[in-house]
Amino acid sequence: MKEIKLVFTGSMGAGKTTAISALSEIPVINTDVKASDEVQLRKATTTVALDYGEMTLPDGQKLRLYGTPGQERFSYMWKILMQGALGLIILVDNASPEPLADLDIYLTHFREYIEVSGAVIGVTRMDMAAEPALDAYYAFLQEKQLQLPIFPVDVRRREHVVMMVQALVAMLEFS
Amino acid sequence: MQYKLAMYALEKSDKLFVASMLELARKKFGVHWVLDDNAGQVTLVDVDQPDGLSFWQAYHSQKKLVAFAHSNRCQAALYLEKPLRVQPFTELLKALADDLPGFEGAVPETVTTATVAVSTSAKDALNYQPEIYLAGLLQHSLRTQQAIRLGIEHCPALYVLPSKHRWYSAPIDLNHLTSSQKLLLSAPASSFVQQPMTETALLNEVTQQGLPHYDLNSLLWVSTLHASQGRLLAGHALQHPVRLRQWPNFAILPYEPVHMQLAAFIMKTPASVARIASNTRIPLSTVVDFYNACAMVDLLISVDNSQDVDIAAKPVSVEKRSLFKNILQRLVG
Repeated sequence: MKEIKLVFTGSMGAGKTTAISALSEIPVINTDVKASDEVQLRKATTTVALDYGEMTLPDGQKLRLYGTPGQERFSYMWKILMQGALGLIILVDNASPEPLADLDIYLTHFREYIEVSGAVIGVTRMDMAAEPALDAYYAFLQEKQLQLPIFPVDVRRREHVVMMVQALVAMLEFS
Repeated sequence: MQYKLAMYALEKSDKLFVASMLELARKKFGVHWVLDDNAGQVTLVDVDQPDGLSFWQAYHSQKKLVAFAHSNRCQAALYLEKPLRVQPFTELLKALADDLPGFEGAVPETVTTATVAVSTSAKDALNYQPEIYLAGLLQHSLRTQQAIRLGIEHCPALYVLPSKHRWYSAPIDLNHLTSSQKLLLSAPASSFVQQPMTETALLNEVTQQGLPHYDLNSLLWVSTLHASQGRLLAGHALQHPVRLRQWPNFAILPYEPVHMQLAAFIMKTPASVARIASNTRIPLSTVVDFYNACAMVDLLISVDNSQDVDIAAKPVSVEKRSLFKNILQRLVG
């Protein structure tokens, strides 16, 4: 049976694991290891493999939720995970030093997929850092000739994660 | 000629709405209905209420009754679907008046319980004019940068702070509004007591009361959704194409799943209201309400007429459509 999956990607600490936890009906399986020196300043652990969660749909099928490792050196895994994916959610930590540059990494790597199927962008921690504002993200996407939904989200709130998935499904209906 | 309408078992908010719609029906169709619970020629009965249903069962064969409910389970010949909407209700009043003998009587200048301040032009009554509703008051506050307290009977006050683009009120879940809250949001501007305030006074008052604040766009958005009632914004045309500047920020703007679909469609394809409704198969009134709300929070961009082209959508397979439906059901279920 063909796998049905959603992929969450984004910079380290953007909230991928938390977002999947908000939806998953099983405890999220992840491989957290102690962060290396250069990332320890940002968080205590970091995902160097991937996150996995799942939801059972009303007809019994499983919707599998994957979180990619955040560091760019694991980008080879990103493409593998995206094969056959139903949709992509990109999370960006607005409190990171260069959130737009972070976003650019994922837009570049997933460009081919995005042009066919679209993606949803969730900007996290806007309560900690108000800039860049949403308008800056939309302007950035316009330069890239992309039109994607961008939402300020708190991935600890299930309704925000649900909102992103709803937007993704709506886009897929009209892609 | 006057006609008399009685009401039975309606909730207070619906009674107020009916009363305000009688004036609109008079201006739109020239039919003069007055409320008279004792001598109504027609009785609007809320059959979703137990006593309303009992009344219906007792009198439906003897009196002229209109069943008012979420579904026509009484299989009534005269049925009005909940929630009350301007167009179906006023058209019903017109149709009833055509069949009834009227009374000679003085035309009331104002409705006793609520007044809808509408233009005397029948055409204008068919359009949504934000200036005569709450949205107009908010826009005025933003234009003049005047902080203001808006009060209406039986409802918590609204405090508008335009300099911060905020409003304050008792805690409210805009995604799950009560019927009285919906009434508040669709009430005409004339129903509000307006009290200009200094910014300092307003902040003191809301701090004392511990009132949470919300983005002002959320109030502009939700009040427009409820007040539009399927009427296109005045000065806009059903056939003129538009596109969205960006997705509505559904993190702060209340939404229903259909709004997501509309946003996805309009972001992808500039289109007129008429074409959006036709291609998405979403009811025109829903599209219009969404369109108006987007316009009120400055999300719409007018495009050239040549861009309103019927681009055949790539068909989504039955399997995929079923999958999407399952995912959405699982998320909200």
